[in-house]
Parts: sequence; C-alpha cells; structure tokens
Amino acid sequence: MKQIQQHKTDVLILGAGIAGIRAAIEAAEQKVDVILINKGAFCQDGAATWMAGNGFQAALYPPDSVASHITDTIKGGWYLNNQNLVKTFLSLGPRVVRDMEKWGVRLTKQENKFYQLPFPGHSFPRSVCGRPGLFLGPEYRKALYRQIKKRKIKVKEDFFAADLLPGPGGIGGAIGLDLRTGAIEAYRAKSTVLATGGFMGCYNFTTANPTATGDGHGMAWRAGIKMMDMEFVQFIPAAHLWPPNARGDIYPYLLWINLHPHFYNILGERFLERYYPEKKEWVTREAAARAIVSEVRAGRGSPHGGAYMSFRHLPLNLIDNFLEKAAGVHYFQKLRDAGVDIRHHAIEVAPAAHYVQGGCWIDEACRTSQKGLYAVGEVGSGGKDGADRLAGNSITFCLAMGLVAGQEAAREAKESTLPELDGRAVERFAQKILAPVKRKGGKRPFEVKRAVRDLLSAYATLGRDETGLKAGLTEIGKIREAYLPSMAAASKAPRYNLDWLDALEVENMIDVAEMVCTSALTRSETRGLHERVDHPEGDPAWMKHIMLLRTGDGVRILTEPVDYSIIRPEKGV
Amino acid sequence: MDEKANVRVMRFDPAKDKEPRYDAYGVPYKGLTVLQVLKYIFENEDPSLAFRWGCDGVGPARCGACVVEVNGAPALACQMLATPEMVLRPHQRFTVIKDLVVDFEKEGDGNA
Repeated sequence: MKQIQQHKTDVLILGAGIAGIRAAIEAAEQKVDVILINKGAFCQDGAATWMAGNGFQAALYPPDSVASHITDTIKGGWYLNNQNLVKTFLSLGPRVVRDMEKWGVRLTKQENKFYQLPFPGHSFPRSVCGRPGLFLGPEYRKALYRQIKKRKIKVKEDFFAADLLPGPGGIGGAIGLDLRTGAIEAYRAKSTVLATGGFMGCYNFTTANPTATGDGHGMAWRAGIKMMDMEFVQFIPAAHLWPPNARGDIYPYLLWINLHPHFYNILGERFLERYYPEKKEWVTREAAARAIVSEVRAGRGSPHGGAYMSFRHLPLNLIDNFLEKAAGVHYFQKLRDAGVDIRHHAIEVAPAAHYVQGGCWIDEACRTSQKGLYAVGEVGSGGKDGADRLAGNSITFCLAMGLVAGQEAAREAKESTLPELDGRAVERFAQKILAPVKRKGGKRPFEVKRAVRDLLSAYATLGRDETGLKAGLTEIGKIREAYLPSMAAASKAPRYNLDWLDALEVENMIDVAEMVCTSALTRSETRGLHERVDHPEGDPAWMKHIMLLRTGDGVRILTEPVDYSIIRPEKGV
Repeated sequence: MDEKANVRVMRFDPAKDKEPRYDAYGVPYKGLTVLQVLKYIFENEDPSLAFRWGCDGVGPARCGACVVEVNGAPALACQMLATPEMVLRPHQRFTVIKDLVVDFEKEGDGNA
C-alpha cells in the first residue's frame, strides 16, 4: 500500500461549522498552528447554522440577567442539565454577541442597544435578531469566513475524517480520506477538537442537513470516548410536510412564533386544547410535537401524516401585514408555486428531527473523557440541554464553547509535544477506509444508509417503547453483521466518489443508531424530549444522566448524578 | 413517474480526461427537484457521477453547495423543479474538481 501522508499541527479541528470555526479563530489567537478540516466545501456545505433564520439568546440588559437565563435553561431542561456547563456558556453569551457584531453580522439595534425578540420559555426578550426578512445564517458564515481568511488559518476542504488516532494516553489526531484525490492522510495533532455537528441525517424527516450523519459521534464512540444523553433527540413540531415542494422547511416554525396558528386534526378539532386545556398552542415545542404524534397514531392525523396548521382565525389585515414584511421569503414563493395561500389554506406540518442533545461527555473546558480530545457543538453534549433544550441556546453554546474549546486546545498544545502515531493503528484504519472500494458485489452503501434511517425513524422517534427499541437494536445488529463488512462502492473511482463517502458515513450512522436505541431503552420513563409510551410518567429515580462506553466486551451503560450546584429541582419534578 | 426526462450531464475528471463529455440519461422528473434527479441517476443509473449537495433545501436560508448550471443558467439544484429537457454542467465561475463538483475557492479557467 502507498505510503500514508502524515501532516502535523498543534490543534486539529474536525468540522467547519459555527463551533469549529469559532474554535479555530480562538486557537489561532493563541499563536498555535491550526488545521480546520471539513467534510464538504468550506462555508458552503450545509452545516446546520448556515441555514438558520433566527438569532440566538443572550442576557444583555437589566432587568434580564445571566442568572435568569440560567434558571430558564435549567427549568426548560427539566433540571437534568449540567448546571456548571450551563453557567459557563451562558455567561459568555454577551461576549459572543459583541464579537459577532464586531465581525460584521448585521444585528438589529435600537438606541445603541441590541434589539431582542421574545421566545417561548424565556423570561425576557433575549434573542438578538436581524431586520425582518434577513436570515442570520448567511450573515454568520460570511462573517466567520472572513475571520478565518484574515487569520490565514489552514482549511482542508472535502476531507472525510474517518477515525480518531490513538496518541500517548489519549487521542493523537485523526485519519481520513481526501475526497478530491482519493488519498488517505493522517493528521498528527497535539490536541484535537471534534466539532462535527449532529446526527439528524440518521432520520428520514429532518429540518437539518441530511449530511449530518453523526461522524464525530461514531469516531468518538469507536475510540472509547464517554458518550451521554443519546436518548434526547429534538423533533421540531412544525416542519413543513405539505405541499411537497417545501418538504422539510422550517418556516412553519417561524410562522408559529410570529402568528400563533391553530393546529387541527383531520376531524377539524383543535386538539391541543384537549391535551393542554390552559396553554393550548402556547405549550413548549416538545409538548405540541407529542400531541401531533398521538393524533397521527390515533388515526386523526392530516392526510400526509401530520397536523393542519391554520391561520384562518386571524384578521386578514394582520396576516397581510405579516406577509408584506415577509415578501422576499422563499417559502412563500414555494407555497405560491403549489397554489397554497395561508390566508385561506392550512399547511400540513409534522415533527422532524431538528437537533441532537447527545454526544461526548465534556467538562467546562470542553475536555472529553480522553486526553487530547475536545468536543463542542452538537457532538459536545456535556448534558448542557438537560431533557429539553431551551429555544435559541444552541448557537450561543456553539459560539461560547467554541471559544473555550479553541483556547483550551491551544493551551494544551503549548504544553505538549507532538504525539508519535502508532503505525499499526494507522495501517489498520487505512485498510478499513479502503475496504469499500476494494470489495466487489455487495449492497450499495446508500441502501444501507436507508435501512438505518428507516429503523431509527420507526423506533427512536417521539413516543418510544421497549418492544420497538429492542426490535431496533436487533435490526442494527443485523445490519452491522450482514452489511457493514460486505457493502461495496459500485464506483471504484478514487476522486470524489460519492459511493465511497456513503460507505464511510454508514458506520457512523450504525453506531449512532445503537447508542440512541440503547439509551432510549435504558431510560424507562418519560422526561422532556424522551417520551416512552410504556412509561408515560417521569420517575424521580431517573434524575440522572445515561453514559455509554464502548469497551472490548461491548457496550457499558453507566449513570451519573445531576449537578444541582446552582438550583435544586422544585418538588414534583 | 413514468414520463422520462432527457438529462445530459457534463462529465469531467481533470486528473485523467483531456476534455469534458456529456452523458445522457432518461430518468423520472415529475415532482422532483434537479437535485433529486441527480440522486436518482447516482442511485439507479451511474454510481460514478459526482455532484455536491448540503442542506437539501431545508431551513430558511440555503447553503449553496448544489449550485449548477441548468440549461446555461446558474441554479440551486435543490430548489429548482426538474424539466423534461435539461443540460447540467458545473457553475462556470469556478474550477471543476470532477463532473459537477467545483472548487468554490478557485475562480474558473473557463475550460469547462
């Protein structure tokens, strides 16, 4: 086999989304060498934040306070949050808002103060925003792109990091495939930051980029990193289901926030009233999502398997005023193309995988359970979200803890020497990467991907039960045994081979599916985003985190107590 | 789904090809986006076809990864509904990596 090219760096960052870029900027500020690796094109790759419409949350001015933001986050998280981690990232909220403005993100100001919108679950208007109709996702990426270029940070695009490499007493870098050349390359690093995003692409219906296949989750798991909270996957209740040309669009969620629609089932019943007589459509997102799923299960869903979202109860001029402000919004063009007018017609919406709360265990410095490895963003869980993330907190977390991860990884790099790589490990990983293009026959990798998505979407969605989760685990076992060793890329082309990329992503998806089903089966209660129909109540004995470790003998399931250093739960939680 | 589109796609691997060629595919197109047509070709007709995609059209904003030229005009493949006659080639502004995949960091040399 050809000699594997080895690169050296102080800090290696895997994933150039908002968290990875923020980490790269901060590490570069510490005058260390940084390499930022990305699976796709740099800042033009579908990383989840680039598609964002909204701003993010920070407590900026009295009477709001960081303490209030912390309390809201912990209450929204059903008291299952790692409270110290919550405090760490929310305290940095004001700092990261100012940085983003300084770097050119056009945040709206009035009388020299950031204008902030109210969001459900927040005690004060806290979400910084752009002018109406301006999506902030493209603003973030333009600003962050410029900061990377300005600092001349090395970016390796179209590189699929396949596995973490062992170093002395921990992690010493990563190995993967250069999609542009077909070459396998190893990166030796004094510290490595995982910022690979979530695994929403392991589900069939998602509001996020389907390219989020849990690559960092899989890599970390196989390297024996401690994982946590994998049972908590957020499904957005109001993703667009029908008409079909806007499927997966998140805009109905913005309509929900801005126009307070009513939800109807196929019988024309405003069913949320039946589930939540007082709050009705003002309930939290996961509560609304559960009710929609219950209606669909009971055979009362809308024709395409969701609920009707209607605006007919609002005065026409109120809707028109909103539509006027939103004139340039592409979503409405799609509705017009389909002949749908929200002043008259309901759209259909359904819950879709939106965000994942599970990932690596991290501490307040983004350190994972092994030396030399940091994690941030969705792959860096740390239990920050508890049982349900407070709306608008994730970009705050990515920016704040990206900053921390960059600083800490740079600090460790300065104190360390470059690790020697284990030649045999490098060779073993390289052979694994090459296997799908060496094999003949076998299932195409995209078919295996579909099988994994089908089983997670069937068994590990809203409303789970023991029977389904066990069936899911059995199917995962079969896929792992039957297809993982035999699937083959039909194309053997070395350069930009999508079949080969699919094959490498599949292993991560299988690992993710196993972790999600295992954790969901273990938590025999209903809490926050995790709903067990066979255990519909919360169980006080489950006020703890589920940790997973992959060992030579299989999967170890551990539990750890919740940190109550700031607030203790109210009675009856 | 029965009616087929005539899709001609530019194929070019600068590492081994002297010049681009166009491959023709007859594939379903009704109710599909251009990106869904490309995925159909990759899954059913030609596993060696290279194209970029990212957000797949979700979210309020778009990522832009799937930009190609459809019948001579730049378009996001995930946003554009497919038509019965399509010629797909990479965005002319950028340098081709392979087939429809371009390097957004490099301005094109106009050879595609």
